[in-house]
Amino acid sequence: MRVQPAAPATRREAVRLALWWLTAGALATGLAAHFTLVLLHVLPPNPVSAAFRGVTRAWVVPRFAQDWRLFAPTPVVNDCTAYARALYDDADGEHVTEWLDFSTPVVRAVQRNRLSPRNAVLPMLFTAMYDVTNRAGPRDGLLRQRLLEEWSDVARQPPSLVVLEASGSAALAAAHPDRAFRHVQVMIAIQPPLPFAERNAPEDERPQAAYLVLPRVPFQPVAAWGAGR
Amino acid sequence: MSAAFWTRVRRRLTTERHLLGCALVRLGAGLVALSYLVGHWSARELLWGPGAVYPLFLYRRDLSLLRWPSLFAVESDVAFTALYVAAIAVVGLYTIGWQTRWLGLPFYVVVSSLLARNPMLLTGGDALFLAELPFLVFLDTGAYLSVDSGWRRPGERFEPPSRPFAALLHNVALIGIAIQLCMAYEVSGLYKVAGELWRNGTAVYYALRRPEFVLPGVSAAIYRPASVVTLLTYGTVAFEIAYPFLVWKRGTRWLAVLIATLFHGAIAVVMGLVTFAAEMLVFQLVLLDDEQYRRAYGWLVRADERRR
Repeated sequence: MRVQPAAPATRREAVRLALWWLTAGALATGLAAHFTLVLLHVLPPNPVSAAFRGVTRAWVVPRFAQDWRLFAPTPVVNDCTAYARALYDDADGEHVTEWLDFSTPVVRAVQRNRLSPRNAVLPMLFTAMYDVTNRAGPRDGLLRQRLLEEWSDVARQPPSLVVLEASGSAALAAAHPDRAFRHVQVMIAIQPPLPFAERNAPEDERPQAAYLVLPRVPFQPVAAWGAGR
Repeated sequence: MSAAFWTRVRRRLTTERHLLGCALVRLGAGLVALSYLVGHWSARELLWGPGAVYPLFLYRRDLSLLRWPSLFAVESDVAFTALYVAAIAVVGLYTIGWQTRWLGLPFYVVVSSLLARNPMLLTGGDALFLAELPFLVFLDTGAYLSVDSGWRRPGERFEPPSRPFAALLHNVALIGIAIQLCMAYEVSGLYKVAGELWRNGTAVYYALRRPEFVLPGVSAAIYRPASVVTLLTYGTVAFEIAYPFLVWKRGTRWLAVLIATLFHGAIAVVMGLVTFAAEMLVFQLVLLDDEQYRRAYGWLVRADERRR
């Protein structure tokens, strides 16, 4: 069926129609510009995105910030576990607590109940662990030492490490409510999985874990689980 | 192009479309936001309060870099709790569809403020949520299942009043939501194609073995058979790459929504990424038009009558 164009009846209607088309044109242009910038920002590395990185970043971050590397190009394969210990003083002098595993209880809580409030904390802890281990990288000796010295100052730490220390502090405070801690220290255990070809082998045949021990920093009071402070 | 073509374009853009889907998006987005606010009531201080694991000093240090201010970055516990309760009220009212035209913007401000207070909590689902919320502000989300509409049901016919400019904004926002969804899946698929483990068909094995994604008694049954792992790995890539093409044609949109629902539903149950799955699914609801929803609703009503 042919649609006949409707002619505007009055001058007022004609102005409204022109305004409508102007608005439609502006919105279409805006939408196209927005998604061109977002697309250039999120695409895998390529020459065009690199050429416009400054412009795309200025538009996309922070309001439209997004990253679609979901488990890609390579999913993180290592298992990580976060531990924390604290230093405290009493009449006998300085003491250090045992290492406390504060990521596994969160994993267990979410495994028991997929709707547990810990559901939000779980990705936060693991994202933080992967970020810290990536930043520490495979460097050895002097380079690793320099990085850890830099991180002994909380003000120079990456957000992921600050969040791990704060989460560890909350767990330690809950485990030892009667102690006043002076310092907190975080350690991350990194264990590679069994390769796909050995997926049916027993768990105890997995490769040994490596440990990343991070510098001790002043203990920070953090809100407790389950209630307001 | 002929004048008749432009008349058809104008006719399409001056009629508010997909009103049932928009109402469902309002309900879904509101429930996701409420699951954050009410579901994490007991942990609110730890996650977003003055004593949060993402401390205020860190938030202030990185604010110039992130350029993302938050209403919840306050030092007083009382002020924080008052803001938190106010946020629940705003989100609750928006969810039930009270004054949706005006509450859309406060809803966006409240949700983005909450997520901005602790960027370490953000997942890919939150990123999609934040990217889609500005479009939600311009949608007419109150035509069905809302206080504003007197709780109009999906089976009832409704002709929206003639509002050419509001309808234009509504329809452009709808297109924006669909493009953003397509971009998320397509780019994710492109990254996967470039990955060795996705190409050799084993990526799902490694993802399912990570302790944070294990469901005891179930995960191993999925990642042990090589055929299942390969099928799921290639199936994921195929779905993500095909998604925009399925959405493009009206006739296959239901298939895109169905596969996405199964895909994210499985991720929620097996991998525990419940909020992520909900956030990825909510905006798919605008893809189906009112006729498709009415047919589905009619089918459900008839099935219910037969059951009785």
